[in-house]
Amino acid sequence: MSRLRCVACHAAQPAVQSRLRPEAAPDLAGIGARKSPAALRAWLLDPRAEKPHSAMPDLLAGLAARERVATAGDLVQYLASLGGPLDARATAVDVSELERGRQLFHSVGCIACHAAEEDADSLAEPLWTGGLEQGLVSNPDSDLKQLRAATTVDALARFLLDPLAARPSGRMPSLRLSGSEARSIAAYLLRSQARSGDSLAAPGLLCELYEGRFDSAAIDLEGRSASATSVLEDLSQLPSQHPEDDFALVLRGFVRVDAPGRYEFSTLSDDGSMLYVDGKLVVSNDGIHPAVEASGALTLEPGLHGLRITYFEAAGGEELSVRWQPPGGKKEVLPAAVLSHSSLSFVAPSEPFVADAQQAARGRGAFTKLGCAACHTLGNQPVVQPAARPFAELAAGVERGCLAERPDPRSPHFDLTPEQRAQLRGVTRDLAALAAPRTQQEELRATLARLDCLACHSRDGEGGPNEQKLPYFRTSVEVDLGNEGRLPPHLDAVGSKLYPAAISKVLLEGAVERPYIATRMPQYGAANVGELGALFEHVDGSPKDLVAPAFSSASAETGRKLAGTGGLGCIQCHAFDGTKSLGIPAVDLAHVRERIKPGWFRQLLLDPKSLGMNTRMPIFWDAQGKSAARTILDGDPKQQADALWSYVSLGRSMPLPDGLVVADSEYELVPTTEAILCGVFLKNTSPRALLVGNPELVHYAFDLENSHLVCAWRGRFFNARGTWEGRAGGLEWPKSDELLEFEQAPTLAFLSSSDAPWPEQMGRAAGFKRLGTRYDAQRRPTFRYRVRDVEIAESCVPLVRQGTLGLTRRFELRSPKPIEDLYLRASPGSTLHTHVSFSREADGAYVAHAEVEVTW
Amino acid sequence: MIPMLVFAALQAVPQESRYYRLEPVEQPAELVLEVSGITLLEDGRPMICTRRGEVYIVDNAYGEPGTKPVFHLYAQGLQEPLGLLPHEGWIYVAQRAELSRMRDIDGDDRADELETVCDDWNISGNYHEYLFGPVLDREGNFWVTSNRPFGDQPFGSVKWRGFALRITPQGAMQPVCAGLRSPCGVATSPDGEIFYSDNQGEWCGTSKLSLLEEGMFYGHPWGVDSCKDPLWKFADPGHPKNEVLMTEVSKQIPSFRLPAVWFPYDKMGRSPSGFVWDQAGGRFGPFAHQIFIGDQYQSSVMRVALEKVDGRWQGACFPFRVGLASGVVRVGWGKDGSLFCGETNRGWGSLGPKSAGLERLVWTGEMPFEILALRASPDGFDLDFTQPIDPASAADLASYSGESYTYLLHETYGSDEVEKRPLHVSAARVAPDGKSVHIAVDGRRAGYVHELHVKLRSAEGEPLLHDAAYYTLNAIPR
Repeated sequence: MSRLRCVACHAAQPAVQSRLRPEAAPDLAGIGARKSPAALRAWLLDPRAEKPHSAMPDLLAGLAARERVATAGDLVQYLASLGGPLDARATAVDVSELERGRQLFHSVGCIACHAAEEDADSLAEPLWTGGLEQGLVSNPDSDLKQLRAATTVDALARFLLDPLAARPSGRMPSLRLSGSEARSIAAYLLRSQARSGDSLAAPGLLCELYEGRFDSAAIDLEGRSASATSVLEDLSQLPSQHPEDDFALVLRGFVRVDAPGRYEFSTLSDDGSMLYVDGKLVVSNDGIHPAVEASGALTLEPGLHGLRITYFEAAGGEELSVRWQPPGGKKEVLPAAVLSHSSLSFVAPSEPFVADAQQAARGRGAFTKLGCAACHTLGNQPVVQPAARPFAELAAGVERGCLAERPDPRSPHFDLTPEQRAQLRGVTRDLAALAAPRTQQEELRATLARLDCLACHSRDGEGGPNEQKLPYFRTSVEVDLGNEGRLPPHLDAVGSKLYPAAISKVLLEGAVERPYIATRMPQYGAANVGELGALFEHVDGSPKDLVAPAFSSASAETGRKLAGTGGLGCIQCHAFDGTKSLGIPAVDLAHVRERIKPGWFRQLLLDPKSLGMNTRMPIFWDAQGKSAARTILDGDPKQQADALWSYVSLGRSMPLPDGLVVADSEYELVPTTEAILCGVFLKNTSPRALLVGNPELVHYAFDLENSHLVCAWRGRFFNARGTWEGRAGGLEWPKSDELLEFEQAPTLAFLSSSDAPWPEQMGRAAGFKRLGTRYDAQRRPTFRYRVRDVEIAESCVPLVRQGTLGLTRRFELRSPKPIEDLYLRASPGSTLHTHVSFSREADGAYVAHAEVEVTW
Repeated sequence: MIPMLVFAALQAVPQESRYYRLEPVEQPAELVLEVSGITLLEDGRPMICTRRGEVYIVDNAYGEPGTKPVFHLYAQGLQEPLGLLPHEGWIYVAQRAELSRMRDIDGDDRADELETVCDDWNISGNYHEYLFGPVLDREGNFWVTSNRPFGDQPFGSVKWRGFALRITPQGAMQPVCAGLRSPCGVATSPDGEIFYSDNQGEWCGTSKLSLLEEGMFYGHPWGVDSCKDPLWKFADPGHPKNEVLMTEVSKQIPSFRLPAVWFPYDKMGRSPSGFVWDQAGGRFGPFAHQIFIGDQYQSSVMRVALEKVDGRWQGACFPFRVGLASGVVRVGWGKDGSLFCGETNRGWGSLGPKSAGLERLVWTGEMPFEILALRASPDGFDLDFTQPIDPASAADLASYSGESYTYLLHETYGSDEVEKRPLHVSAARVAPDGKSVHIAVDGRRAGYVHELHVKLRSAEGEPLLHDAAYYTLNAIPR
């Protein structure tokens, strides 16, 4: 009855009125700007045709057919006049926006209530896999398919940005989308509006020009609009039309890759630029600087890959060119032949519509007369209760009016099933029961049911994402947090855990305690969930929740010790006031004080299973009831739990635990007496590289995967934090201003003649096979590898001479057979190669030696 | 009188440390010894490797009076080596991207040479792509196990993650087992069979110890697409169905193998790691031929006793020793029958509060009162004890309780214990030697874990040091 809003028309005594409080119907103030006239008409004529569970009655059912159509026409004119009519002009959408919308729709929480548009598995591949035409087809089973005919990308985006403004009931909550996120989702949902004939294959990249002050190429387009849009095919220079200073460009489209392998991209820019492939940052060349080149590489499979380049110019000179080097190819300007962009233009189906003020005025009259205003507000204009029979009198005639088997022509038609009708009649008769106040337990259940909270959260064994929806709940960070990292937390006894204010902060202020969950906590508005925190507390809470152990600064200090190394090691997983944990990103313990009640905290520590916490939080006490930290408070769990409470009760003013912050110097590798070797994942090179640091302060990186000298540098050797801290896995690169990069080209090559071109293929792909490493007395490595019949031993030793600090590259080559066609190119930046001449040794092997001094 | 009472109370709760004491191997302050491999050199010195890529030989590791351990840096710059194996004059070591072997030619305790034995797989630059081993099979081949990645793969996706790989002495690679998740422990049994331990997570309902058999599939679908590669010489297991009882999986995938032992989560650690068979000849206590296995999270060592029923391994796991300083990742025998425990908790927290370390677990010589073995029989179980038992409490049916359960194979992280059912002990018969009991148990189910709690006392009136045992009853003997 609350859904059907009975008491909106039938005035009831306050107790009944409050029990049957009608759910707020959509506010129609801007309806004309949201919905097409055709959609409005279809809706008025048959509200349940497209939305079978709609609570909107058919108010025109009692009219004769002609009058019905005429009244609907008047109402459409009136509604279209409210902010409208819908602006149905075509709008341009880039396919990357579509892809973003697709990912957001399936991850932020939309699919908790709406049907998924596609299988979770298929989301790993971009929309255009299998052809864009295919990607633009709507799912016929979608419950949102009617939107295609009803609205436009921009109108839907406006709605998604603040759904509560138009639909205050909270059934469609806000997901805290940014403007561009809302537009992306809208575009995705309306993708079948893309005009046929649009294609992916438009040549060049889409180039948007933004004017204004920029100081980074990490351009936030929020609230900005492009002052010009063009297509750019030549990436060797900036487009000819641009302001002198203070502008930014965003280039978007695709790069086509024909062969699998490693592709290097680079930008040469003044000022900064960034290049993204498939949403991943590949080249970071940001900042205000003269023309500087930066590069990055990644492995790509054949097919189209999303490409996005951002560039800005603050003042002074300006320059931009973009290059790439495909596997086995030369470095060149990114050729137009591999570039394309999508030129999608979205058009909402529309029929001619001419506003008619007279008709609208009639529609306005019908709106009041038919009782539309009983439920629908118009901005500040409140609902108007019509003069229907008072609710108290309905009991005497439950077979009449809306509840009649054939409803009275003047009554709204709800299309009730016989069961629904019987139920409603029964409830209507029992006025006393309706007048009885709802218990808080009932109130809570009703709220959870109305807002479908249990679509995402479970409570007391009910709800939580169902089997079909589970795969869409994802973690937004890449660590193995398991289900805790992807599923919204359960709500069992949540009122005994969280303070009402903390619940409200999540519900009303968008507080995010678990940033690793991709699904967002929707915002339902104060009118709908303002009381929920208090209700949870009433239903779940008990006085002992609030009993905190006595605070003392000594106890807090003990708690701090427990949190750190040498204690229970909370720092392994938990952040402390924004300082990251050593391991996984579990909730920040500086927020505990304002969120969590002391009783629950204590129980969580002492007996997490009793709270149904299927968590990976450790149990710190053994079967004998002794703490893992035996030396603190005599290993007593209760005392330790209370000390931890004292500590976390300091909130954001907590001093940090020991071991949470480790000084960089702990990881600094300083070669003093002999070489230091450190294996790393080396950026843009390979995940199998060795850094070699020398006491002479000249160092180098050698790629073991491809048996190739990558770079050399002077000064500071290396800080291993990224490789040795936490789970590590950082991509490393030496930090030195005196760095020399060797070419990504082979050092040794077999040539048919000395003037044959130097090959591009190198390393493993060119048949270089690693054999091992030898170490000298200073631990200096000699790398052994083979190509064809030749075994090579390569080393790099510091070259220290007056005024020079460089490296000497040494090669020893051995072959069982004579070799005539091997050449060496070992000097950086030089395209000269020298013939390697072998001589026969006493043991019958053919041997050659080479030595090249490298300085920079 | 009061001191007496306190003494009696202390005696009532047996302490593990009374039987097995922990001795830290003292380290120089500047060393961060995140131990990831332990082996024993012929001269009795332990060699260890670390997650930071170093290999050390340790002098004076046994706490000899008046000495301090000395750490000789044998090698460095390896990429997260996770196991060491001395073989034919070389030290074999598994690095992320290669199986290597090292040797010290001039005898200065420093490797002079490292050879790449095999690098026929790639890594993607993901931190979780660890490689464990190597161990030797009967034919002299090396086996290593590979982890699946979690998250970003900056150098592109790669094959053969979640596999056991066999490598011939000549360096040829053959993937032999699929579906591994995080196979942190791999070891060869005294009979030459290879077992591995796996960690609970997605597609691994709880942690386990399994026999590695050629061509078999162990449950995790991450890498199974590699089975389409011609290098995989066995049936392609395909992707397993989600939410299937472990006991039912082999109906869909005939090559699916159940473990020899499940480690029920939290009751028996959370992340089992390296393991060894007791070949200490009694110097480590009464558990000859049984397995000792570390647990990273719990910072403990657990015990496993296997038996072969119907041609397949199965058996029980038991709590053994908690309270180690940090997460136990590797265990290895010392020359004196003590057990070196190598530890780290970097990136994965542990109950042990230290971040890294090396300790030695030493039998004090005192006999703990423990369940020595739990063996399946046609109608129940046989229990052997380490000491004579009190016949009255042993014959009392109320001394035994328990339940059976299994797990689900599914994508969700870990599985609840499902299909639980209590065990009914209907008879208990004490053997004539007074050290064993036969119990008849109704309602046993093949394929299920049988958790048993035993409350009997020793002939001297002592309670068991650990009263729980978890028997994985893959088959009921006929």
